[in-house]
Amino acid sequence: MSKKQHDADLMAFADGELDEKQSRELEDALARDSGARAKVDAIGELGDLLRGHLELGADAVPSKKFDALWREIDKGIEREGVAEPAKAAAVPTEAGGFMRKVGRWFDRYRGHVLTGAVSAGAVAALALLLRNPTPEMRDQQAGSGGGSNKIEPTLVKDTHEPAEIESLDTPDGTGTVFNLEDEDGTTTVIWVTPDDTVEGI
Amino acid sequence: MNKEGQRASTGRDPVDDRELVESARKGDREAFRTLFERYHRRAYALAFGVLRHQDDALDVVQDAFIKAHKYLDKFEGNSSFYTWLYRIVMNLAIDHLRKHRRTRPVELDEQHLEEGSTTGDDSLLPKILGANPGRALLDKEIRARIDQALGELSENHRAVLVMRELEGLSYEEMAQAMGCSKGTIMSRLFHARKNMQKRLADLVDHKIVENENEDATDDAAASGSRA
Repeated sequence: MSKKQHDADLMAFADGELDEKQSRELEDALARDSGARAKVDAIGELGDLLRGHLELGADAVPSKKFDALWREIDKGIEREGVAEPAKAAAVPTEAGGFMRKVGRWFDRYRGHVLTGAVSAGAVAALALLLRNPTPEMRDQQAGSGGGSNKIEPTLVKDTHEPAEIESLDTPDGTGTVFNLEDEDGTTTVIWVTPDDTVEGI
Repeated sequence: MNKEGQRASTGRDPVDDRELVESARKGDREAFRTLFERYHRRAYALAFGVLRHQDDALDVVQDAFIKAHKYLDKFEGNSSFYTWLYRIVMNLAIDHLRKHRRTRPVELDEQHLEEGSTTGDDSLLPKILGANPGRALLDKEIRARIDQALGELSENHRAVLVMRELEGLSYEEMAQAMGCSKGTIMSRLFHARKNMQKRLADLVDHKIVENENEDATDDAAASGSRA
């Protein structure tokens, strides 16, 4: 073997990466070069050492650790198993029909629809409470004499000015306040838009 | 390695593995546990060789078995179950390295393995032990030095070395597993081996001389007793 014989070739030979022809040529060269032969042998020895060392290391781990590991794996598999049927159940088995499509849409956006409905209800309630009363309503309220079953409009004073919102707390969403003018006066609308959620995906 | 590991490494029961996989696919948890019993230590050795941390290696083995179970349907039986499993272990171990990358010694991956570049300090050594590696592994000091030398390698160098020496992966397979070129794999492997040899050579020479002296003493004692 030439003195310049590349060590990388020796390594490739030791690792069985050379083709048949290259291997044969290198074997012939190794027969004449004891130094190169020793390098190839040393690669093999290092491999044996590492393999033995790592296998002994694995054997040294107490069985109890692996028993505990299996229990964790078992739990993990259980969790995966629970997740799969849940997903499968969410997939409709039949297709077609407008109501079914609506149902699928509702299943998909159930969270948004419910949140939207609750938000709309809250907005409507607030709008009613914050609405400026008409002169007729004010007369009615004045003439009622404060009967026990009457609800007093205590939340908003009749100032003929739009309601002033000092603060708006809309967790998991965005709140927007509108003041709408119409023939009944000024109506304050608080519009709540829920944030996108990844829950359940 | 223990009997389970030995049996696994000889690959004498691939049919059994396929049957177990088939049963596990149908929901037989015990069948999957048998696969775990067969291969967990070998999978651990691979993960530990790369990660050098027991808990991290156990985490990777745990994730690998859970993933293997989840994707059993994707296992087509073209390779052995363990071949499929070690790829999962290796991918997870490499992912783990990427996610938890720490500062490591400078790598020489880009250094070309050109003719003439492997002389002097840059060449492979012609000797590691000059004796039986199995015998050397009985020496705690030698094992501690192997451990230390492995730990001093860069993560990429260590991963390649472990894949090659423990699982016998080809350069092409390692290139696929690590997402790099075959040339980079060769370079990493070359430098990993050279560094390991350099770190082990002095101690091993010293220990082997000691061991040989002990052998000579033992032989003399033995021949004395026989006489």
